[in-house]
Amino acid sequence: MQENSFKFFTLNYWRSIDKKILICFLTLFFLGLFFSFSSTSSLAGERLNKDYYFFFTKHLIFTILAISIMMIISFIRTEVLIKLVIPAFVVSFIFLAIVPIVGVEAKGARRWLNLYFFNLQPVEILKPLFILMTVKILTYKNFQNYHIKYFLSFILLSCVIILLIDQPDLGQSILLTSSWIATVFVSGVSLIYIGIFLTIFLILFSSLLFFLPEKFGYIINRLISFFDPSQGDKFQSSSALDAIKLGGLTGQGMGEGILKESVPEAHTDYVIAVISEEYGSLVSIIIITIFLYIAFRIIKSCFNQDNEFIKISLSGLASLLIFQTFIHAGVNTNLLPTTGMTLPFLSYGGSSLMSSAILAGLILNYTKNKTYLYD
Amino acid sequence: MKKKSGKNKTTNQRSFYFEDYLETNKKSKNFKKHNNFEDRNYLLFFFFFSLITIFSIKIAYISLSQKEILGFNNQNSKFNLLRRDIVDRNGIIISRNINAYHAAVDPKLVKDKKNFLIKLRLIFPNLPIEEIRQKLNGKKYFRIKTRITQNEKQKLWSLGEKAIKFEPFQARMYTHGDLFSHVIGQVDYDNFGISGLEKYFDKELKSKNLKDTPLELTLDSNIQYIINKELSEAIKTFDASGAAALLMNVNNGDILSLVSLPNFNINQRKTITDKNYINKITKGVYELGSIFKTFTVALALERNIVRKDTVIENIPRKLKCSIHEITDMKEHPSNLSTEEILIRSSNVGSVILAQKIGEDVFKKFIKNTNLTKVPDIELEEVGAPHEIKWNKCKIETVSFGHGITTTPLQATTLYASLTNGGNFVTPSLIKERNKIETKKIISNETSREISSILRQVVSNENGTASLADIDGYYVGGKTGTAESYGNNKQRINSFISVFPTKKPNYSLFVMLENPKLNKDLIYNYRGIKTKAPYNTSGWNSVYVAGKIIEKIGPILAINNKDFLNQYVVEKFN
Repeated sequence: MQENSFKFFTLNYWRSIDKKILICFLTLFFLGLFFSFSSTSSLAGERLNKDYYFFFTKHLIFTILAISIMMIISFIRTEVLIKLVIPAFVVSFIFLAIVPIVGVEAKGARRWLNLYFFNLQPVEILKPLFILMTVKILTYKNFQNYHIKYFLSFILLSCVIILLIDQPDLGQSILLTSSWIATVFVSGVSLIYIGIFLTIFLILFSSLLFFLPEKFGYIINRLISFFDPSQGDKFQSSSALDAIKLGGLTGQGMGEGILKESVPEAHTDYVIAVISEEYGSLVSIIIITIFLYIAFRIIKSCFNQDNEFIKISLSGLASLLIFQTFIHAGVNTNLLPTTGMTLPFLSYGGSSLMSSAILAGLILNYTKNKTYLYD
Repeated sequence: MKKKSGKNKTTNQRSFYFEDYLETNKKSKNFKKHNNFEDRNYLLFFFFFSLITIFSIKIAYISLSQKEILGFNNQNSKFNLLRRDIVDRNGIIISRNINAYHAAVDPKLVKDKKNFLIKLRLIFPNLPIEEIRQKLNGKKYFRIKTRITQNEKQKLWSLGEKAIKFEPFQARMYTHGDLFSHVIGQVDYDNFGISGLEKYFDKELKSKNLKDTPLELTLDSNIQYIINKELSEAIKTFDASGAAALLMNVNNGDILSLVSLPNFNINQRKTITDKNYINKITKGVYELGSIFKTFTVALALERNIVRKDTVIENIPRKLKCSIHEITDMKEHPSNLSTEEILIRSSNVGSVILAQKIGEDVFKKFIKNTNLTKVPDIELEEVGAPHEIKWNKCKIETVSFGHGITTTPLQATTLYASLTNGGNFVTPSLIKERNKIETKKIISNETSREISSILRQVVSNENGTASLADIDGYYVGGKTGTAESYGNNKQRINSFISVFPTKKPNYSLFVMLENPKLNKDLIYNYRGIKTKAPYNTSGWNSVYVAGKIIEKIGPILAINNKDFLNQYVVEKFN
């Protein structure tokens, strides 16, 4: 009986899940594994004097872990998952909040928690949960006809942003803010509110720069070097551009890239440039198109959903995915000022992979075709 | 309510319709909202699509753009040079300012000191780690390594330590290392010239208006290299303590090469106190010996005291002049013509000629040619020859180059002036210089005669410089061997050559300090294999000069326009 129900459940799962999205996610995970091999082997072997497979092995373990997490999340019944949102968000928020106190500092920013077996970046876990939490507030029954729900979600955003700015982590703040705007926009807010919000945001941002120049001066430097390429330290962005140039459309060939050797964190923050250098910019465009296709599938699927929460969540999660991808790709191609942003699924790093796994699991879960379930 | 029920009563159908209407209304309301949601989602997706399209266009644009060689694209663009480049006559860079860094540490920013030290030691295994550990415990900012290379900077930078600071500064790079050490000189850490050309032209090199135009020298890197190499070999072959050479264009005084050995790498900063490291060409003051006989003969010819074939009869073996006794090293026939005096390098013969010329004329000549003044050259390192006291018997010793000191630069300049038609030239290291009016010191006629006598010194079987007779270059010249006896026995073997003697273009001075007789070296002396019989310049300096001329000759010839017009057929493509 037990066996029978499990069989039924699995079959049901397989019939209800959006297989195209699943295949896309798995493809991205495997591509990430493949690229991490070429982008980190020289780092491990030549710079850190470790086994050439050191980072690759680590990444492999994380990928397996991430795929399992993705599958587990997509297995859980949607109702349960919706109920879990608040506790999960609270836990990850606490993690984020204790970073300034017990966090590990690396390269000028305090963003990580040391969890013995790996360093966790809580914001990565928080990101998808934050979107869900926002949607939860926006769809909360008692607030249905009040504008106070927007204000509440704005307060939520501010709490997270303040913690992020303190780290400092500008890229994630901008990502969360833009995803929040997209979510609120989809939920049907009047466009006037968004206009008001953007004005407030700009005022707050510039006053931050103005009043705390010693902490946020680096932002000004980056902006200066972005708008006037002859000034400021543009080593990373110009190296990335050189790498893409060298790669051309078809690339230099596997393992032939030099960017990963000259730029620190190339395997996390400059993945697109590394891929373009070795495999050509066409491959990069194809990879980014996979992300766009996923977003397309998600948005197509959310039209078929009945639950308000799921609908808005799906749009929000899709925005998160696309914005993060675009920030990463934009920094790589000098469309945006320099900021460290990982590329979901493809960048090296445990936290980034976990974040991608949670995001993917949630998307798979929410895009399930509900007609197959429970009959 | 009533109305409603009434309606209900009248048409049942309508009542049903009414309810249905409500439902549709609700639905359509719902639908409207749904529609709003969809619209916004379409808009959102359109936004996604635009972002991805922008990215795709951008990356395609980048990857299709012009490829530059990596690392060279932003080198010169905004780099504000504090000093101009120095290039040789062919535009080859000799010295240039580059961006360089010192690595420093701010201990306040170091989080994990132990880890930091381990990382440092991985990169620089030779650093004084103990000293750094102590300094790390303090609060003062300190340098861990000055003048780090680009590679080291990259490694340090990759550590990602906030505490490591790179202090940028402009370093002067000398691409040829020690090749031009005596000419170029050095700069201090603040880009002030402290020696050589760098000091002499300090103001010009820092000039902001001329920033992009390099300072062009008359030196030729290729020739400098060849001469440097030959001299270094000569030092080994003859176990000499030092050597020097100077190549000058006789017509305008351009110095093509100035080598003084031992030299030193000007990229490194070292305090050198050893006198042997001076610039022997401009700073070194020597008694050059027999080289002066040419001046005596030239004066005698110019004053029409003798003609070149005038035979001076009964030249004694010894000549006593107050307390000095003047002799010849070799036995010469007692009757020598004027030119033979020079060819055989007879001391007594020159004394007789000098006595005929007279002290006043000689004095005037030496004054006229600045032979005993501080040399006029664009370098800080110039030597002052001793003032001549014209006491008894001075003119006799001066006639064969004793009791008179000068720098090799001045002697070579005078040879250039005597053989170029008699126009006194001013030596120079700079291509573009103010034209100085030339003065005639001897007539064209005498100049031609001197050239032909110098040629005979090399070509005549009695001449002292046969080893420099390189086929095709019509080399002429005069040897000089000077010995000083006493506590520090010094020997200066020098040879000044002029070539081609038909119409001299170049003058080459070669000097060896304290050479020894090399018993194993076999010379090709006029087609006969032989070993050196004496330790005179004819057997070492001349030999070296010959080897140099053999190698630099083709380079000089190909740059010679007359030669080109005459022999080289222009290639039409």
